[in-house]
Amino acid sequence: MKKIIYRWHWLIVEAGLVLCLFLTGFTTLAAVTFTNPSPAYAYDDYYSDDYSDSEDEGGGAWILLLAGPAFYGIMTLKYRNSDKRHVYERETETTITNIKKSDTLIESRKKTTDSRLPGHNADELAGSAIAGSLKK
Amino acid sequence: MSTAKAKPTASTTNLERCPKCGSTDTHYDISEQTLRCKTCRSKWNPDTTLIAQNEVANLKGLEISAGTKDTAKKSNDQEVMTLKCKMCHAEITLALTNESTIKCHWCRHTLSVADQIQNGINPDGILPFTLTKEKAQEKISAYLQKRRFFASPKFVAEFSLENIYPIYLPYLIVDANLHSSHSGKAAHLVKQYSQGSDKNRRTYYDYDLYSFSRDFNLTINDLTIEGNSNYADHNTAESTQNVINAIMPFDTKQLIPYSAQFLQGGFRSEKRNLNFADLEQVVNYQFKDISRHQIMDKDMKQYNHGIKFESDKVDTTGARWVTALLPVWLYSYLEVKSNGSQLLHYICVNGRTGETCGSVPINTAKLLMTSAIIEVLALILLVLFI
Repeated sequence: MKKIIYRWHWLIVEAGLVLCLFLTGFTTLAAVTFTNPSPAYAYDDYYSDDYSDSEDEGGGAWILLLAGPAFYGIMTLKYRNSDKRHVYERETETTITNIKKSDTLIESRKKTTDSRLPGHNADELAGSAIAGSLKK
Repeated sequence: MSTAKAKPTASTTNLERCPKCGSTDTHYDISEQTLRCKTCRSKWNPDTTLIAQNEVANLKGLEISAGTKDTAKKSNDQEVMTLKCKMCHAEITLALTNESTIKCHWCRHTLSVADQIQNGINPDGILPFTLTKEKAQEKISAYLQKRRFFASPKFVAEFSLENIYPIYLPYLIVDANLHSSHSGKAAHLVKQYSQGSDKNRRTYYDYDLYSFSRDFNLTINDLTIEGNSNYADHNTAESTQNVINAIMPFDTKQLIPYSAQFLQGGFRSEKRNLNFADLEQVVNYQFKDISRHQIMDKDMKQYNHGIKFESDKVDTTGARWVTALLPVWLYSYLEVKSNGSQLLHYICVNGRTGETCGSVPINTAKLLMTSAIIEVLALILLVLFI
């Protein structure tokens, strides 16, 4: 009986803390929206890898909104290592010989908003996903 | 104490007896990397002749080693026994022993000799442990020292370095001689700039789009794949096998012929249950992944704005499959969460290279509270900023 009470006690504490965390985040977001009518641009600034030398009017400060969740995520990965795996595609010993290649310019694209070539699939791993679904 | 060089004959490698007095009470000493007899205290070197292999570039056709045969076939090995754990269903192979309590290295359930099942087929090779228990304990201590603050207090209280086990896990090791052809589109970034006023400011990219093709010969040495489905499945919610995958690679070039001698004296091994037929497709996909990444690293660095592969053709000219037992120091901990769900955590150390990886149960309440405090502090800073 004592154990059950103990378990419920912690469930409530955890639920309360999660609520606090999200409330803090949302309140901040609401406050920011109120003081600045278009905060979405601020996020754009952060994500856009902007290397222009035009003045950044405090846009980077919005990153602070993510401080709590980011800390939680980083610590979870540090302790649980759920993202770690053997990087077989680079760590396996290989040799390449007799390369025949061709590279043909198709077009020069100007003033696009593609932060990557559309359809970029060089990071996809076919063998890793299948290994994960093996079940005897 | 005398030292005798092992005779590389069937009488010593298969019967696991002391070459001097004939006793079967022998064990493998990691620190000296020798076999020792507990009866007459003599020691001798195991047969460390490396498994001879042809150049990968000369491989033609498919070579399947004797140890890669279907696991359904029985071995004639009478020096080891395999027990099936009733709790987690692991199949654990160990040298015949008089030990009264044998614990499962995965879940620490006590095994009974009555749970004995057929031994699997013997592997071709083995990499004996070179990292001693003390060294492995130091590695795990140092690893946990950096992950103590948010660790679950129950885990910290129950943790004992004595409970790490030396285990040989089964792997399939593949060499391949391939011919690859890749083609597609690739982009080279020419210029990146921002335009517009504050509200409408956007980032723009100028890039050159190319059509590319690459055709080349590729050799792959010692691609290593888990041979047991229990830990080949990395995406499970019940346990954390991915950390065992993460301590690869092993120095598989040093593979020596398998002998049950290495399982004597407290070592355990896991039975292989994945065969060539189960893994052939996975391996072919991994060939493709390796082929793509290697050519990108070697000859496509100029394409810094994305690559879209449209056609991949990887033909196998020759391939060789062997099986091996590779050494891992393993600590396991079953976390029972407040909602009743369970998660099996592993901390493991590569028994050759010392590479360490693990999963530590988290004190969620403490971490959430700290994250909340950080969020509040960040909010104060933000208010000060604006």
